[in-house]
Amino acid sequence: MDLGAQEQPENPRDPQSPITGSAVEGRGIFEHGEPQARAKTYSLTRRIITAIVVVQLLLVAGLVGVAVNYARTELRSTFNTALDGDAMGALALLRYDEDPPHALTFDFSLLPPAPDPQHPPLFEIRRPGGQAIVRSSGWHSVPDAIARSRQRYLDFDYGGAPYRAVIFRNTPVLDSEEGTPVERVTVFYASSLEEDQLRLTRLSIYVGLTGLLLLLAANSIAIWSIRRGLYPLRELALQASAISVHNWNFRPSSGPRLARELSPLVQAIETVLERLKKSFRQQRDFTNDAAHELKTSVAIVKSTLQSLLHRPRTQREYEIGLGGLLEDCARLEDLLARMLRLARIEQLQQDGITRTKLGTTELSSTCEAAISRIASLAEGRNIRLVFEDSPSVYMLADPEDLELIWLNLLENAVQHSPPGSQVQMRVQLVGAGHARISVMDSGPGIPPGELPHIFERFHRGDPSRARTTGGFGLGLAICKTLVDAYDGSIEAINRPAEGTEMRVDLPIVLN
Amino acid sequence: MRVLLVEDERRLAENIARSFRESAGYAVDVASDGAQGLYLAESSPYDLVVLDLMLPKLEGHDLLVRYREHGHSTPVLVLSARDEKQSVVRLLNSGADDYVAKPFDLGELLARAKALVRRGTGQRSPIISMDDLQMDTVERTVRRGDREMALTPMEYRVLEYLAHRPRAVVSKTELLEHLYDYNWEKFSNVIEVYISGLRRKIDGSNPVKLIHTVRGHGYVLRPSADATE
Repeated sequence: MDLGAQEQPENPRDPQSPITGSAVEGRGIFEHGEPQARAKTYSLTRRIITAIVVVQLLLVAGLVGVAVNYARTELRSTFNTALDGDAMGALALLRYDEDPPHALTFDFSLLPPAPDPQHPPLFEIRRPGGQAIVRSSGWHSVPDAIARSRQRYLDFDYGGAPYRAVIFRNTPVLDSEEGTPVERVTVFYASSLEEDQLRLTRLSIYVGLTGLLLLLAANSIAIWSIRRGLYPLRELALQASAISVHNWNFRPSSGPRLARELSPLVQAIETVLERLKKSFRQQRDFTNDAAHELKTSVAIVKSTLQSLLHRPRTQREYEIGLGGLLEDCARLEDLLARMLRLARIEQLQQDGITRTKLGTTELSSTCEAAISRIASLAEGRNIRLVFEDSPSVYMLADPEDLELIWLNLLENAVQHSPPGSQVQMRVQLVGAGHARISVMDSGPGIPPGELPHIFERFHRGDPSRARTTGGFGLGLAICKTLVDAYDGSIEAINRPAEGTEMRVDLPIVLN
Repeated sequence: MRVLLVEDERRLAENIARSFRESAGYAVDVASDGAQGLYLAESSPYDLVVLDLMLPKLEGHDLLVRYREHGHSTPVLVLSARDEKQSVVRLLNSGADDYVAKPFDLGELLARAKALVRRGTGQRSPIISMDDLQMDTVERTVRRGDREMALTPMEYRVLEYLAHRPRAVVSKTELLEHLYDYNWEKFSNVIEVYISGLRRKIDGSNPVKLIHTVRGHGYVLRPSADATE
């Protein structure tokens, strides 16, 4: 039963396979720890085929058994009828003598020749008392226990052959002219079953062979159709194994897609793949952007040093140069701090904030703390910070996390507002169990095309604005990650002719 | 020589511009975003454009494509942090002439910039010769015969520009446009001063005159007996 295994290589990533390199590398993202190659593999096709063959074999065996048994019963019944006839025939050969002493005689000459001379019939006709009237030749070897049996039919062995006997008791012997019973006798008649047995054996062989032939034909068809039927599964497996970071193509043909059992799997793979692809791309973009920022920062430091060293400078020039270098290092430091902060928050978000360890925090106080920290920056840009009187609202949070959100939002607002304008912050209660914190600036607003991207890492709305203020496009990404970690939501709303409103909704603790 | 630097990172732009001015004697204009960069590149004659890729308003790559589409042949040197092969290939195929990956070496950037400027005017060798005049654009020295000339930076720049275009008549406006950044109009009457200085130092009493004034047209560098025509 090797049929199932032929086209199922043990290792689908053999060196001949065109997908090898990428598939092996791509394994990284789908791996579940230890490779499971140690565990014994098995073939689904082989299992199904084995099951079907076993079932069919049982079916054929059962059918053959029933057929043979039925034939045997029928043959026995026919044999019994013939045996009864033969016994009656033997009785008919018994003659009643009209004349006294009214003896009973048996006419051997009228006895038909035995069909099988090797195993002739055995018979005895006896009086109820046990006195034999007539006996066939060879009777002497019949054991007494069998001859005197009280059964109607009985089987026994005689001369190495199976025999069946019928015993008629108290059968009347009729007067041939008047038809009146003259005497009652017991007839014992036995015929060889040899011939009958032989016919049964031949029938069994015939039925059995036919069954096997049919089994073979049926199995061939079954195996062929199972392998054909499982083809979409194999195709799906092959397609799935070809997926890697370099090849996100997963386009199974209509086979697996139309199979009702496989289409949920196809859809699941497609969905997962789409998500993986997206997060992989995001991760790669992030890495690229981070690399770009870091390299740029290093390039600045390096170019400052090189241009300073390029030729002898005056004391004053060196001082200015070193001052610039300090500025460049501060930029690099700021970038690193922000990236590390984002990484820490993301880790926090992935691990989930342990709510039981969080204390209750009053929202307004964190807002006020953030406002006081941003005050000098706002003053420098001549921007007024307004915090509207707010209700006391409590939530389960680390006050530092909240402060960081407000700080980033306020910094963003201050940077995007024209000098002399104001930035407003307020806390409101919305719906059941939520607080809405808004930070509103008087800036030019966010171009509609950029709205979906502003929370992405390293995104800079209009980078020239961000650059002049030293932004890296990480502030809003940090806000979003933190808000998400607290099961809240954040959105940016353009208020025409007024500016931008950054709106954060957070779940609060109800008194 | 006049260079346009399109770089949004203020500190980096300052350093590169200073280095170009000090080490190569180039006039440098800085554009801090892509849109301004494209506008400047198309409105003024430059000998080289140094372009960063990640720019606000207009991406460096898009700027490059549009610049080339509009038929400008000025050499473009690209700066970027992305140094994957495909990105480099894409840039070169879009019309960039050379590429420097961040964080780069200012000396290398300068050398590549000089090489591009040279090739842009058809010069191959960094040493330009005419008659017995030898101009080393790397060391920035000028000799006539065995004698080394002590030129002021501006005199050197005027001579360098003329030497890159031997036997071609260069107008005063062209000289001004290529030797000063966008404030060049202020300097319109100083070219004569530099030319006369150069003429005194290089030609002097030498029977073969190199610097000539073409009346009503401009100046030309070529070996000839007459100083004017």
